Amino acid sequence: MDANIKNRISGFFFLFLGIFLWFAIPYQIKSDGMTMMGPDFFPKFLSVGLMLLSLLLIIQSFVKKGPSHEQKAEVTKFELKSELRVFVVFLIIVLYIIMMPLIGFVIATILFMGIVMFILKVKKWYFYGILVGFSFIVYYLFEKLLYVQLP
Amino acid sequence: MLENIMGALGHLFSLNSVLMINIGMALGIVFGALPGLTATMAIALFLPITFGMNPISGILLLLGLYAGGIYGGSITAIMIKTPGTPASAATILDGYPLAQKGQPGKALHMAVAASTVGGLLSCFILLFTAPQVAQFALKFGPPEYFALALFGLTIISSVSGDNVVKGLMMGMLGMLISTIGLDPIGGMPRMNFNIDYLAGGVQQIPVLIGLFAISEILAKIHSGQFQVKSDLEFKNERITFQEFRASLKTMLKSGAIGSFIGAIPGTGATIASFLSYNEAKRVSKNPEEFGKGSLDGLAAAEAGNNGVTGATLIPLLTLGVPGDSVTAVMLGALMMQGLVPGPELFTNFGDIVYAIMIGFIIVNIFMFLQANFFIKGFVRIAQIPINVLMPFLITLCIIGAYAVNNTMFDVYVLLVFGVMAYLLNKFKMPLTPMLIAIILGPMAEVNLRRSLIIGEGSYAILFSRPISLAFIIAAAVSFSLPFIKSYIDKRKAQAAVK
Repeated sequence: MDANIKNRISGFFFLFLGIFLWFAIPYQIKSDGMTMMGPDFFPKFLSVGLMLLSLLLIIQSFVKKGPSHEQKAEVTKFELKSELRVFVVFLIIVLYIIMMPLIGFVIATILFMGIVMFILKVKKWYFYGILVGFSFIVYYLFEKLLYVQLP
Repeated sequence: MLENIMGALGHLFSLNSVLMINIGMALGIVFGALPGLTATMAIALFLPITFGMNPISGILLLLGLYAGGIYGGSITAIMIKTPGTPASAATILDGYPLAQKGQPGKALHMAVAASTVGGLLSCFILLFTAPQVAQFALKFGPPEYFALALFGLTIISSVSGDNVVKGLMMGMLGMLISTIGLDPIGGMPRMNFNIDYLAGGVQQIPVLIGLFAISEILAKIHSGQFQVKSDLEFKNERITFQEFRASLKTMLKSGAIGSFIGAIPGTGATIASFLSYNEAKRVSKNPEEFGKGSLDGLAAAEAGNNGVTGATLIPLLTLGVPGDSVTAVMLGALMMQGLVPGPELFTNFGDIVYAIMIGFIIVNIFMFLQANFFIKGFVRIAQIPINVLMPFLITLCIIGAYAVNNTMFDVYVLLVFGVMAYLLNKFKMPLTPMLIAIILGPMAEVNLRRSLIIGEGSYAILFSRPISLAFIIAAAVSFSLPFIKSYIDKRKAQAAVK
């Protein structure tokens, strides 16, 4: 996708967001009846601003010249493998966070971060060892010494 | 006054004091550097320990933590594009590109130099002009705060990268996000879509970490570049004296801006660093360099945020009003020790007050020394392949997000913003404006509304008071400057062609 198309997509996205907000705001904010700038003014102003700017961006994306042929060559391709990798790691992080209150910080950290490291092709075993050590150290340091709550 | 100074020096030149300064500094730098742990948190954590100590040692420990913390954030900002503390967000703009160019050593050393200069300047301002500055700070009412926030927001037009429209959009988005929570004046919940947890708004720290750290981690995963060694040669160069001298003026100016902002209650290092950065860019002879690794920009950001540190003590000591969250905690520390801030503090405990002020100068000197030591260590750490570092970073970020309020919700916020930022990056929407908007948006809105209430519905109040008028004009100028400049450049180019 070249820059203009990206802008166009962003523009439309934010335009719809702005419109959505414009309608959602009255439900979210009960005006307190003051005649001066009430709690709904600022959000409304912002959503209008967002709409106008998105329109501007969309128009811009049509008016500006697209990239030349050389530039088109360096367009970012939608690489499935990379995105998949990100997605998987992200899922793992989400799982990690969900499980943490259940199985405790130390175990969750060792388990999930270990998985992450594996996915990221960490081969040397001593890194995993450091990970385990790190988890324990952090645990002791924060919970026992500093009385900071860990998830 | 002289006897106070002598008394202060007597306190300071003891092994205990020096020890406390250095321990605090070291810890502060570590806390500041680690994303997710901030200077404020460090001070809050170590506060209880200071209860048992004598007042001077305790305060010096906290001051060391503070200065170290604000400096420490720059290390990770430069090395991994993740601000260790919010104050270092502006440092990323030029620090990270510089490191990417293969000059992390230079960047790190410039950060140290700038932070020290800024910190020392603020110390001297503290020492010699505290009462006057305090009087000036008192003049700041809602109109002035609004005008200041407005001025800060206009920076967006210059950090938007190539497309101001996008920058403004992100700014609006940021401000919209900042409206989530309780309405500051009326008190009713806003924009929370029936999620109870949002009643308190989105917390700044998880947002910050998510926006920058998580998105950067995800981006690195995406890129698949795991072996760091092939990319960058980590030459640990220092900055040359020429480079230092060239940026000295910027550093002093930024330190002054930082001190000014610091002295005003309710504004913090983050705002100061962005304003300093903007100002440096405005007067620079090479503004195009900014954002691509300009030493000047880096110096401005770091001097700005450290410039806050000393000056923020001014309202604390003279008026008992904290300049920012860190000093709010310190206020607690002072009072626990029986030192009640205010004019009486100077008469009753003069030597302690001077010990604090002079001690802070020493703190800055030690910061300079310790930082050099730490830099070597951190450069080493950065040489560890990313795929090993990442799980640790992720864990730290999660801890940091959680620790703010002890609720898992903030961790979810972290993730949401991380993903959001990742996607926004893919679509080339600039993130910095959003950050500025999230920080300054509330300040602008609240104070505008308060001003209107004071002025009974009329906007005139903003323009009739000199300070606020000055800032509004400055805001207008700052906003339009990039446009005017590019217009003039275009005309010049056309004329040259002819």
